[in-house]
Amino acid sequence: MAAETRREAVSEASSPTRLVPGQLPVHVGLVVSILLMASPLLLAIVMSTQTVPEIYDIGDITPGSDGLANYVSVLTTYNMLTYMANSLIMSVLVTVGKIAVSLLAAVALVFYDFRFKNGVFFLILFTLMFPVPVRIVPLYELMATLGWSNTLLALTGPYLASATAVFLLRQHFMSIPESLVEAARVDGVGPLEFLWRVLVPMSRGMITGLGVITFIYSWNQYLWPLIVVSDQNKQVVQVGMKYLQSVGNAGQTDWGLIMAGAVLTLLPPLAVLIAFRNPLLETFGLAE
Amino acid sequence: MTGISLHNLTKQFDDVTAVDSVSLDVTEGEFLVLVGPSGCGKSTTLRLCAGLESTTEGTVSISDRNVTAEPASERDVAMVFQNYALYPHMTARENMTFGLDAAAGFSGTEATERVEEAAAILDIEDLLDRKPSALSGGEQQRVAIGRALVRDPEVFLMDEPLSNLDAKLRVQMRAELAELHAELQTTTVYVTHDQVEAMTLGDRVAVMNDGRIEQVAPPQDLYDAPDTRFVAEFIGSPGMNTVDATLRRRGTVSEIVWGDNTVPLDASPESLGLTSGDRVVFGVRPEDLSADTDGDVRMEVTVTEPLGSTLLVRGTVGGHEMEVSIQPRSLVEVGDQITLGVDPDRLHLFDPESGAAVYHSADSREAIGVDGDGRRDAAVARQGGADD
Amino acid sequence: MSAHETAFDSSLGAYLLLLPTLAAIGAFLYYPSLQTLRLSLYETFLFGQNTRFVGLGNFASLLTSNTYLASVGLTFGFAAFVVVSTLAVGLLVAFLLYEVTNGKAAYLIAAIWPYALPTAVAGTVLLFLAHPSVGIYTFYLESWFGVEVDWFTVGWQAFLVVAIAAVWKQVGYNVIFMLAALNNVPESLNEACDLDGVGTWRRLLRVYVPLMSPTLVFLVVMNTIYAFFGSFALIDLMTQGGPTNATNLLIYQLYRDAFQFNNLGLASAESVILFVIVAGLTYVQLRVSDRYAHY
Repeated sequence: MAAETRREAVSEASSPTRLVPGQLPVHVGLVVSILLMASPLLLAIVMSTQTVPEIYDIGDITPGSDGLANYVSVLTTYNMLTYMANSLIMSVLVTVGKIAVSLLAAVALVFYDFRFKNGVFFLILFTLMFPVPVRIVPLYELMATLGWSNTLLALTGPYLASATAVFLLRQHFMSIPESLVEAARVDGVGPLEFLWRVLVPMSRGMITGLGVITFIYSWNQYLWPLIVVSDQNKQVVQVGMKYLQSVGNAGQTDWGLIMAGAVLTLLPPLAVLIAFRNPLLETFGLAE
Repeated sequence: MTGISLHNLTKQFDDVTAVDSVSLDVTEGEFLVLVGPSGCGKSTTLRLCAGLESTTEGTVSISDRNVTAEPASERDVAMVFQNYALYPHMTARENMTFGLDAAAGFSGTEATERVEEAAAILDIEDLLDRKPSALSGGEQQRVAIGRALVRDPEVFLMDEPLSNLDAKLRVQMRAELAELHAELQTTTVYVTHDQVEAMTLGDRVAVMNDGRIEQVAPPQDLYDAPDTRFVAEFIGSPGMNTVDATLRRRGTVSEIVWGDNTVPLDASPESLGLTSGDRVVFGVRPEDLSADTDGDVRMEVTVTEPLGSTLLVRGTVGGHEMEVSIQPRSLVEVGDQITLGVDPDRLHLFDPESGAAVYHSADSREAIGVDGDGRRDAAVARQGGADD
Repeated sequence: MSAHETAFDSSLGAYLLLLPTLAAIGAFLYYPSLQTLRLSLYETFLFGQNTRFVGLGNFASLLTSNTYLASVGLTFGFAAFVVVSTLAVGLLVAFLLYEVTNGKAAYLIAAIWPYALPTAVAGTVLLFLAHPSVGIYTFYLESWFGVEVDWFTVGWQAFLVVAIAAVWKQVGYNVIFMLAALNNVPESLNEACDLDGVGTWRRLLRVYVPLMSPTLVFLVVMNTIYAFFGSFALIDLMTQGGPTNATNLLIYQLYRDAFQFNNLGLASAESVILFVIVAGLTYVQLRVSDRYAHY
């Protein structure tokens, strides 16, 4: 097939549709597509500084006169600070918990020999087929039965086990030269010490990348918190944004305020992405 | 007391028998080399000694203690790996002490002392605070050896430790390893596929093939009197020429015949347990053949390889490929017919079926009081020196 | 490679290490999933207080309900739109990133940041910017192109707005994987293309895309799952399934049946159907890729 592709490609080489290779069109294309993707965000930032009358003057896309007032009021008056704190606690707990639990499982799957090893691995991988919506009703009932509704346990527990994390860590551990493991065996290094003093330091990039993925994933959860948390003070920021929509003034929705909330909600995962872009990209197989 | 003793050691992976009832005694302080082609089971044998593989059958004893069922960490062995197996996130010093930390009962100062001592021996004192990525291949290997030294084990197990080094460094490290062993006198089992390494390092060398030990002997004995056709062909560079031939009576002695070529042999067929007309495998080393205008053996040259110190000539003799090592700068060209002389003291016969050695002319000469050549004595002398 | 032995051979130790994972997947994944299957055979009434076994009754009523069947068709259409558009846009951006020589790192982060974009933020921002009466996009679309934008009442427009929001959020993830696949194309192939004078677009479609096919299949699967399950926040925040069910995706229908109408049995049946559809699609995609992917 590759040879065939080549042959066709060669026969087309001199056709008039061929583009002149050059960097200018590439830069233009990139700038245009990046601006297209960034424009909603940029506009949202501009609008978040506008007052209600400025918002309703539709053609006006200059920074508004409200400055950061919308941010202040959304954080204080409209509880966004609480929502963000709740989201932060949830995301950190899920990130740390998921990685810890998955590290242990991956050590067992790579460095131990035990009965039903392949079966156990399959059992873990197969959970990929059960996203939250597939089990949402019984999971909700289970939380009610356990008395976990409106608690952090409900927000974090169901996210602890992860096929993806176990899979990625397992792949990574399997790439560690066997002789390192054997040296540890000859030295009599125990499994937990091996995990803590050899595997974790050697997997720092992968663990960081996994941490970023997990943090962004948990921070962005919407459906499950919406269902399992009804107490507004316990709610996470994604659903908190929904509450903002009902905020208005004399029948006019305060979109500036909502945009401020949206920008705030985006900031933490965006900051994490930018700060840890290298380990993240490495984890996705995109080494810098 | 034996350093390490294997008895009927067998390892099976599913249907493959990697190690097939190997028995071997390594005396305390000995440097034993396991050599053989890839897949012969030498590495598996070493790993069975280390406890990195479980035995299918047989026993492993270290210092007269049966350790077959014990985990690697209880065997008091230290291993040096081909790829060094250094932890990339630890400094050289941390790599060397990591195993000591795991084994309880080492105080910090004791560990430090041991590291300093090993570092002094290996001349890596200045490198102790560097991470492996900041060390060259040779330096990494020194650290890996250092890690084994600080543990002061009963036995060193080395799995092709020089294979990842470039040629020049390999020769240098080889000499250093020999020196180190002379100094420490720790029992060492060393695996390599490189027969030069095996010959130069080993007090004795065990040649393995197909999961079995073909022969265990001091290096020169392996060269002079290989027990099997396999050993004959494996040891030496290039290995021994072997051709299918017929043994015929000639008066009171015999001659070896293949094609139009005959080589006289100073023994009667009966003294070899053979009868005239029996098929044999005739073996002679390239170094024991020479260009000789009066010779009885005719070779048609197909390839010439000037190696500098000798000229290696390959060609066909009576339908068989043979190699001969002759004087450098000899005027031999491809397509030439040359005649070869055969050193009568350096002839070997092997059984065509079993491959076992039937006859070495050097042995029979000695047996009848004729000094074959000086090599044998030199070998003994060297052997004696290594045992001191 | 022979079966070298593993570092630690203690079954008990292994299971102790696996215990947290196994306990969590048992309690929060397998148990609820099996319960879903069981619940789907019951009818719930009196706001979830009472249940009655109805066998496959829930499935029968779903599969004969025009509203539900319409939702199935709509969701497939939505998924197709999102998968195709995301792949197309992602491929274009990834290819540009691959080709660019200067400022690669800066462009890269500027192109993939939507990976961090919460779906709820994407929905909220576009709800405002494309708002029929106060949205700035609407304003310019109407004044420049003269189109009538009123997606609060026109179904296909609502569908399009939600789909665009979904694509916007998903492109970054696709670009990351596509770029990784492009980087794996051997440099010698690029050099061969240069020597043969193969044009840029030919090279993308005839050389890179076939070589990237394993990654593309993976992305098709991930984008499908995203379109089926991940778009809930968009619907909930932007359209609530309207206008007149034009954006009533299966996941939203499920949410409403379960948590607004407390019809837990019916909702469980919908979960089962969602699972079957997604599992089936994943299976088909993997099979197709087995046959056509050029590894």
